[in-house]
Amino acid sequence: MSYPPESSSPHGFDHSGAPPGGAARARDRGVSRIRALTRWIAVASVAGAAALGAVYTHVLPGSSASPAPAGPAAHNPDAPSSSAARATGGEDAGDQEGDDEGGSRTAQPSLQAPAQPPAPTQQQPQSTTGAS
Amino acid sequence: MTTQTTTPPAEVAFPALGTTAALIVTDPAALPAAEAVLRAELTAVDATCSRFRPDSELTRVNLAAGTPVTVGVSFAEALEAALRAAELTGGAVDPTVGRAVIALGYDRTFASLRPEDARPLPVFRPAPGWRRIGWNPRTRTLRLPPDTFLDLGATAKALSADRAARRAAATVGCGVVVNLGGDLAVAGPPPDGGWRIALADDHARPAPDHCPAVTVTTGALATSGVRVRTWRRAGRTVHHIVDPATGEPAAPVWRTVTVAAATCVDANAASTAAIVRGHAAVDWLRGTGLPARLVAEDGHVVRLGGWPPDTPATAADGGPR
Repeated sequence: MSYPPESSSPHGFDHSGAPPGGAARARDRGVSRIRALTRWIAVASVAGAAALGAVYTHVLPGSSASPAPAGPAAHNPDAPSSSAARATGGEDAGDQEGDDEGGSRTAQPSLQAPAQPPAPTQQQPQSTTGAS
Repeated sequence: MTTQTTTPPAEVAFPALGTTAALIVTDPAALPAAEAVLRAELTAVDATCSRFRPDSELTRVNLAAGTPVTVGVSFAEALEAALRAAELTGGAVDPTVGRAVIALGYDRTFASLRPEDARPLPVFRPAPGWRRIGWNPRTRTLRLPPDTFLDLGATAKALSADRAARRAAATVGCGVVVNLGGDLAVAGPPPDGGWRIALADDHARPAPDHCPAVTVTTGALATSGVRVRTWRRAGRTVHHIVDPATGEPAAPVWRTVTVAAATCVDANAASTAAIVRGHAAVDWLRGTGLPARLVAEDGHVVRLGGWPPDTPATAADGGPR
């Protein structure tokens, strides 16, 4: 009575035509190489996508590196904002990573008080502040 | 540091930016050079930020809404001042109110506005919102949302006062006050005792008597109010300070708000935001720490941040305003 050769494949494939022993090791090495290659491709894809995203964020106006706020921030009853506007993202984006070139370099993180508050006087004024 | 002056400061005033520009210098000999600096600044800001000039950079930007445009350095500075004011006021001062202001009828210089506009009031709509502006400061590329009109008026005028005062003082080396329609900036060594400034609802019409006054030695003062730059529309008095959240003129809670700050841009942003915020302005201004004086519609005065009590000065004599 003869039996068919036992398959060494976990999936039960018939490898009856391949030499046993060294063939399994060769297969394992091949699988390892393919796995390593797959990992490299995956890592390179992620890195490439991130690099392209960063480039577009800087080059295209209106692009963004962060999620968009819900809408205009008007009438926030809270205390004044603690950060100054440096760049905005546009229609579908929020704050954008900014650069100092081209614009005010004097942006302060809050409204700045004078070095000295106004003092009272009873002398004749030299100028007038009022609405216009 | 103050300047011990024996001669009185010299002054000049002339129409500009739809209001009055006034310049005072501690050294009378420096007046011509300082005036040249101021006039150059005003010419530049008008060419850049006027929404009434068809050839201004602002008009070009507004007509290109929806598409990216590259702007000049001066426009970029004015835009960044406006965006900063919008952020630091929580959006109460928003440069995207342009279309709402135009819809109210302020679609031409105020001097040529119809004093009695019989047309019905427009349908009020919230401003598009400054956060929807696409702005890349590195490339100076700007993209407005479609159908958006910027109005840089208030912050651009204040920025001009800051720049002109600073540049004039640096040029002539003496104390300088630049007053653009009641928004004023000082620079250089002030006169002994500081610059004396009257407080009024209307910069052009200080109260003849019991007009309170203060002295300032550094920084800036700005005043916003709902009693000036008003017109009639459909039987209703409207004014030019628009609430970005509604597109309507701000509710008249405060008649006048005056704020002191390190710069005129900050003072103007805070005073305008206070008008827009109405009853919530007191707590908000208190949070900023800025010295401020708010006059309610009924004349009640609220002082914050170390603003001194009112001390009536002798009558203003028609000096520069």
